[in-house]
Order: sequence, then structure tokens, then C-alpha cells
Amino acid sequence: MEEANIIDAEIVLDIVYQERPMHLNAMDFLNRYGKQGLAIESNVNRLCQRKILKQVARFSREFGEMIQEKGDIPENSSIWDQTNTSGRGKLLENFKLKIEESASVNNTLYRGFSLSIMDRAKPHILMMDSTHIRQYLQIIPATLTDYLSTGIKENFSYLVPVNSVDGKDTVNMRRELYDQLLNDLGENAMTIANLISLVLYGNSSGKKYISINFFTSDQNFIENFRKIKEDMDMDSLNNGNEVKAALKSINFEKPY
Amino acid sequence: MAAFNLDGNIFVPVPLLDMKKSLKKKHSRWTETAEDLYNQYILKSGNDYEKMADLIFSKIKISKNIYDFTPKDSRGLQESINEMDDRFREISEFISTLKISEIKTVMVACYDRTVKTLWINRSNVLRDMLEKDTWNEADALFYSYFNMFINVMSRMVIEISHETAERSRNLISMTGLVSVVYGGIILAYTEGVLEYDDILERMSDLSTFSGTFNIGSSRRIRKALEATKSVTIFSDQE
Repeated sequence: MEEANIIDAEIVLDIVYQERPMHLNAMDFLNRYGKQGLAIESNVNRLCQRKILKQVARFSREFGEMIQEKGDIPENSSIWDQTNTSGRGKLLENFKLKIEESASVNNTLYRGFSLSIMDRAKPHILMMDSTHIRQYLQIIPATLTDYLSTGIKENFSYLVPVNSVDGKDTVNMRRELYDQLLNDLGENAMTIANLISLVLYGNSSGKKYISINFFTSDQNFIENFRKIKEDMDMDSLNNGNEVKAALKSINFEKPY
Repeated sequence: MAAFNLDGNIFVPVPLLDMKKSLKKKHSRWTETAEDLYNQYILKSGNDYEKMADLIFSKIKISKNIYDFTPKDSRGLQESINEMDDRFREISEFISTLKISEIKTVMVACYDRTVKTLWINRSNVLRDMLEKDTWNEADALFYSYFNMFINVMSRMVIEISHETAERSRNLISMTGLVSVVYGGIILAYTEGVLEYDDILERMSDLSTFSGTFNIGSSRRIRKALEATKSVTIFSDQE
């Protein structure tokens, strides 16, 4: 039996991406535990991947649209293909302005992501025709998720709750818990259900955990979890008493 | 509508077509039934193709992810297929009487064909995407998803091939389930019914599982990908 130190999605992103404002703090935190000393569970990984995919899907669609725009004579090739390098630079600047000014873009998440990707890609994109840019846009989702997966593998151990113990299906227990927690915890509900499952049944490699320290700076999450610990009626669950006991073994800590 | 045609070849809840090629001649009675079922339910020109497609579409919406799959889920899928036609039940009962080494031979042939079919169609998928005037968000993710799925299926086939026959049993049923739940996204795209939320959810799962891989592209594109691969994901509050 051992103690597990598990981190949330924001800490994962802070460690993997150097440009994030909290990167250095996150690296100090990582160094306290060493590589593979911190763990992530499968839902946190999924949430991180989902964040990237949502941004890149929108970016590819919008940028792909701009690259395809036709001039006054629709049957002609795109404006991009008819324009020289300096003209393409202006098209990129106009697109950036559009992103910055767009009333529909009210979250900094997308704006930061798309401006960052354009700044990095600019020297290469200026030299490409629209077909090549669209090929690039079709491959970038897999490239970004691959980079994240590699960063995760390099830095953290990976915990997947065991699916079956002595022939008993533990997935159903997790699903039941997830349904119970969904209203209060939203996308984090599966994470908590997985943490409880890790305490009760261990991970897919057969390791058991006496307690879990879950690191997060998300105050709402911590507050909601505190309420669940104190107030939630677990009697409706098949193994409510075990779940209650497991909840006591999960502690929340601020990482940095 | 997609220009490429996979014609049901990537969905392998039951290894229908491959039974004929991989099983010994003494089983020929069953291979004829398998061929009939393949023509009827798996080929797009078949009478009951829609029934199989609808079953697959219902599976891409399940809330379980790849880490939650259990042998019970595989049995559930098999049961849903069996309910469509008693001959599916007869086939799966027959398969269960085979030696595990025989099952492994048939299934490896089947999954291997799946991977090859997908691989051959890669350039068609890309061409299809490039020919579209505009993309929605699902289109923007699709070619990456397609490649990711090939990678996952390839890895699973290799793993099954390297496992002992006995230990490969769970992996075989898991791969069948993966081919339906995650391959179903590709079917949904070819049928023009793919929803963004479905590909987003399935791709988020799959990318935690797919391992490192490269998608072939020109040197110039590779340079652009290299320059942007570590692009930062900021948080809402930043």
C-alpha cells in the first residue's frame, strides 16, 4: 500500500508547456517529487487532450476558411494562392486582427492559442500554397495531441483504475459514482470517481493506495468536493459505506 | 459525402470475410453462412447494411471510454449483433468452439485486413478533405483521427500477434470493441452523419491511447508542424 500524488489538468499543462505563466512554479513543484513521482489518472489525460482538440478544431476550420477565400471571380484560385509573400503576410495580420476583435471570441483560451500557433507557423505558412496549408491543418491535431502525450509520458506515471477485481466489475461502480457526482463536479466528476476507485480497488497494474493527495488550484472544485464529503447521500449507492471511507482517504492540496 | 469507400471492411465484431480465408476446409459449412452475412449486413450494397450501421452509430455514443471497456461490453456488443440475425448467433457459437489458436489466426487476419484497408484509404481521405470547400470542426479533426485510429489498430494487431494464444483472448475481444466504437466515427463520417461532439469525445480518448506516430507529409509541412507542435494551451482565467 502506498500514497499516490495525483495532479489535475491545469498542472499537467503548466508542466508540459513552457509558455504558460506558471511553468516555472510548476517545474519547481515537479522537481520536489521527481519525474514519475507525480501521477495522472486517465480522465485528467482525456481532459487535457480535449482542451487541445477543441481549440485546434476551431482554429483549423477558421484558418482553413480564410485560406480558401476566393476573390471577385469565384472560379479562380483562392486569394492566398494569387498573392505574393508580402501580401500573404498582410492576410495573416488581417486574420489575427479578426480573431482579436471578433465579438464571438470572448475567451482568451482560443485567442491565445490561435495567435500563438500563427506566430510560430508564419515563416513556413507564407511559403506554402493553400493545398499545403490545408494538409498542415489536417495533421496539426494529431501532432499537438502527440506532443502532449509525449510530455505526459516523460514526466508522470499514469494510473488507470482496475476494471475487474476477483471477477467483480468495478467499472459499474465508477459509472454509478460518476452519475451521482456529475451535477456538482461537471467534467471533474469522472476524475473523483476514478480516485475513489483507485483507493478502493487499486490500479490496473495491481497497485493499492492507502491515500491519495490530489493537487489542484481549482477552489470551486475543492469547495464542491468538501460539500460532497460532508453532505452527499451515499446510501443510494451499492457500496455507499466503502465510498464514504474512501472519500476520507482523498486529500486536496494546492500545488504552488 | 465521402469519396472514399471502406464498405464496412473496418468494423469487425465478427470476422465474417476472414473466416473463409483463415479457417480449415472442414469448417466450410460456416464460411458460406459468414459470406452471406457479410454480403447482407456489412457491404453497403447489402439489404440490411443500415441495421448494422445503426448499431455501430449507437455504440459511438456510449459514455464509456477505452479504459472502461470490459469483456462484458464485448459480450454485450456480440449479443446486440446476434439479436439482428440468428445466423450471427450460430457463427459466434461456432467460433467459441474453435481452439484459441484458430480464433487467433482468424482474428489477426481480420484485424490485419482492417489496418490495410484503412492504410490504403489514407490518401483518399486526405484528398476528400482537401476537395471540400469549407470544413466544419469535425472535418478539421477527421484526417488526424483517421491516422490515430490506424495507429491504435496496428498496435493492437501487433500485440495480439505477440501474445500467447490463451492470453490473446481478452485482447481480441477488446480490439473488436475498439474497431466498432472508434471505427464507427469513420463510418459516421462516410455516411455524412458525424457529429462534432462524437469525434471530439472519441478522439480525446483515443489520443490518450494511440502512442507516438508520424503522419507522412512533405518536408515543408513537417517543418511547420515541428515549429507549432508545442503551441501553448492557455487557461480560461489567464
